[in-house]
Amino acid sequence: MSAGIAMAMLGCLIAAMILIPALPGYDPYGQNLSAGYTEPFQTIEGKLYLLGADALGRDLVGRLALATRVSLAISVAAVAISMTIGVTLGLIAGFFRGPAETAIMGIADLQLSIPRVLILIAVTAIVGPNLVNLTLLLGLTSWVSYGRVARAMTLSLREREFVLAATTQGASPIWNIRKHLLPNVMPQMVIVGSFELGQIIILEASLSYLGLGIQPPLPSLGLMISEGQTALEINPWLSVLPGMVIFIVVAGVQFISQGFTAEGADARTSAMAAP
Amino acid sequence: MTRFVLFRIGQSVFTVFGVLTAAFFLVRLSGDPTALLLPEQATAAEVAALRTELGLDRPLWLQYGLFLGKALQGDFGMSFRQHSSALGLVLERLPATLELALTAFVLGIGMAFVAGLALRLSGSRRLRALFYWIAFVRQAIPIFWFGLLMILLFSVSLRWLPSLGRGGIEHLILPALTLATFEFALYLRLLDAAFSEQQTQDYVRTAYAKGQTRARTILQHMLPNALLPIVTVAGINLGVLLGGAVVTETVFSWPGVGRLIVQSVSQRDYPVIIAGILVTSVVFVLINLLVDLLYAVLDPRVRLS
Repeated sequence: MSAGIAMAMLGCLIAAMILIPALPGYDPYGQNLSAGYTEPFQTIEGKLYLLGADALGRDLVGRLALATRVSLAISVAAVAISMTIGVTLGLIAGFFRGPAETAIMGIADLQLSIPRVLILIAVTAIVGPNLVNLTLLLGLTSWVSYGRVARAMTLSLREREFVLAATTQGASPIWNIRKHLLPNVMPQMVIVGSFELGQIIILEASLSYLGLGIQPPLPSLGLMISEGQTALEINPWLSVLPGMVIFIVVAGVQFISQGFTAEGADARTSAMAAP
Repeated sequence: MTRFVLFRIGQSVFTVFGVLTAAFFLVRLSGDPTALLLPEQATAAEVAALRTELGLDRPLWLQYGLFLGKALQGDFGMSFRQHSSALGLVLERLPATLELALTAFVLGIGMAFVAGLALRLSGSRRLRALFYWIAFVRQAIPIFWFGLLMILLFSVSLRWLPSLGRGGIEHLILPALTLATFEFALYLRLLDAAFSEQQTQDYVRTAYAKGQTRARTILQHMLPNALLPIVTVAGINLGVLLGGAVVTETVFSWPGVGRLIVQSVSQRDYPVIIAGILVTSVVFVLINLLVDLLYAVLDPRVRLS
């Protein structure tokens, strides 16, 4: 029931995010200084500001739509990057074992021994904050959970008959990994990814809030909250609305992820019950 | 047991060493810091003099060795922006961070225990649904936005509590609550899952079979066993807490290590960034080590295997 509501809200939000920038009058960069700090539902100079406007009088509807696009695009791309890295390294570690496994798992442990936010802050300080760096860094630092799960699954899969049979028939390791291991590991990776997506959205927002992510004039949800914080007493909506968007997106993603996890658990139990 | 302790200590030393190495090479990759330190019209001779002074004219491996040697002595160089040692600046801020993180941890885990035990003892499904709903909502809210909402409610609207800085207990309440509610959400689920796992164990059935009351079974038999898995994840979750502290400190202008690091990033003050990251990692690694040793003391299966 409530999962349905969450998904409906998420769907509406994504639809709005795609449709709004196509409509006239919602230019995310169009300034109107006489409309500065307009509160929601007010009309200034004959234009209705449905969600208000920021310090420079930029319409919040347009900015929120663009910011949500930016935040979601970065997060989805980061999840794709980290999943690719994690699955590859996990399969290599689990299938080949030996020094490769020791090295990969060593790096994973090392990375887990420093809070992820700190790694991101430190590296951003050096490479400089921008959209591409942010996406790459989020992707590069988030592979560990995929890697560990993929390795653990590979360790048991590689002893299964269908893999052994292929090996005895002369299948190369690469062929085995591609044809037998990857398809079996992927469903679980999607589950991990759906959980990670929510985390990455929050992480991206946090970094942008700290000034280490998306740089103005491009809007991002975290950046809008930080810009709004300076005007908290004048127009609190500037910070409250982008936060609500983050909440709706992350809650929706988490609901879907929980659904996945439950289904995944069912699938695993039934797979184990099978002879 | 001795082998386990030695292995874990060796692992911790390796981690700190890895952090140092990564920090050194990342900073070197970032280019020449002389451009940051000297005015734009500096002559080539001045640049060369500074490069010699900072040791940048030496081979990379020698620079790395010297960096490690100095770091072991706690010398990370001078801050580029302030005239004091980088480590000194960080250590000055450490008590503020520890105060915030510890308060939040104790508060959060305390709330989680009260809530977790309440729903076990009452056995109420509604209470459970309510707590899980709270935890779910809290986990979908970024820490900094939650902090802002707290400021909006308690500082801007009600004017009960100050919104920034460090001082008396009234300054601590909002940032500590912001972090603590996040910890609460995390530990409530963990604790409840740990209890559910114990619920089906034989010793619980035995306790009930010999006529033990529900409350005593839960508090005397299940609670100590449910604590074990909590201890294992407490170390890892500390990373989440420290990361959250960085963001919380910025929201509330709390003068801790996290805020110092974020400020140093915008000023490109590399020695302070490295010292800050290293001190935080050492604290994190040390606590993780202690947690693991504590776990081995609590659970004989770990130290005997």
